[in-house]
Amino acid sequence: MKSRRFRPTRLTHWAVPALIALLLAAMLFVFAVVALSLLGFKL
Amino acid sequence: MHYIPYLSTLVTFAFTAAVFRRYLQRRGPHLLIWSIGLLGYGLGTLSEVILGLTFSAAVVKLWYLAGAMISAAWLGQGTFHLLVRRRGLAWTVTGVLAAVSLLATVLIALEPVQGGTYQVSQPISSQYQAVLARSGLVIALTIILNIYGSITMVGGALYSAFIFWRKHILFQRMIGNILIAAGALAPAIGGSFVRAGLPDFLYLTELVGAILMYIGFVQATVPAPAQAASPVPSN
Repeated sequence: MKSRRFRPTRLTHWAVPALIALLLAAMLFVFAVVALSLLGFKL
Repeated sequence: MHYIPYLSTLVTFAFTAAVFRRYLQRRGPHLLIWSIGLLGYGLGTLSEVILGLTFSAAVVKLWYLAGAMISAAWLGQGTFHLLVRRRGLAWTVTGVLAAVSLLATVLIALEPVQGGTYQVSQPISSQYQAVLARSGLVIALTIILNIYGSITMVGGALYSAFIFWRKHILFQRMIGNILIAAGALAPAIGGSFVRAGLPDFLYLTELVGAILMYIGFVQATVPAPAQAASPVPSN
């Protein structure tokens, strides 16, 4: 089990959650564009 | 832009074959369902290749049905099967998705196509609204299926990556899941560009999406050093 673990570095400590948050924000952006166009906003 | 769908089709069908081969070896239902989603993705990009050469009403319908309506939802459904432990629930939702996909197929088959203004030199993403008449139900189904696919595929991959990061395990699978999420988002962002009046970006985001998801899948399926049970199911 121990060999499945990885040693967290400063990069993985911050970059991975930042990347996950960025991708979630991108998904919300896509949903917002769909919602705005459905509401009749000309994009 | 015309050569991009050729590359996307090659990458996507190679990816589909790799996932289906893994299904034949491992028999996980999520792998079969991902194969169906990827086949739809590939049929969508193959339709773009054909529509760059000639006009065909049937291919326009195939492009919209496979590429725009059902592929994202089936890809997401594969992730749903992977992450939801209750088999009965997963298969029930798959049954509902199959019924909705069948309804979408019938609706698209009945929609009229007008190819009088179609230009092969322009991407179908910039012309489909003038060529393919879509009822309100078709548009509603397209939106619902794509939102469901995005939430399950992108959300599921990000959830897995977050769990691996928090537990500091399976580095390759963590990176693979991030790449899969980014790849799944790419054509969704391309779809937003289409809505924003920039249809040319769709072909590029489809290619980027297929490459990122393929690399992510390869990364996520690299054998772990030890074969102990995983807290989050592997891809």
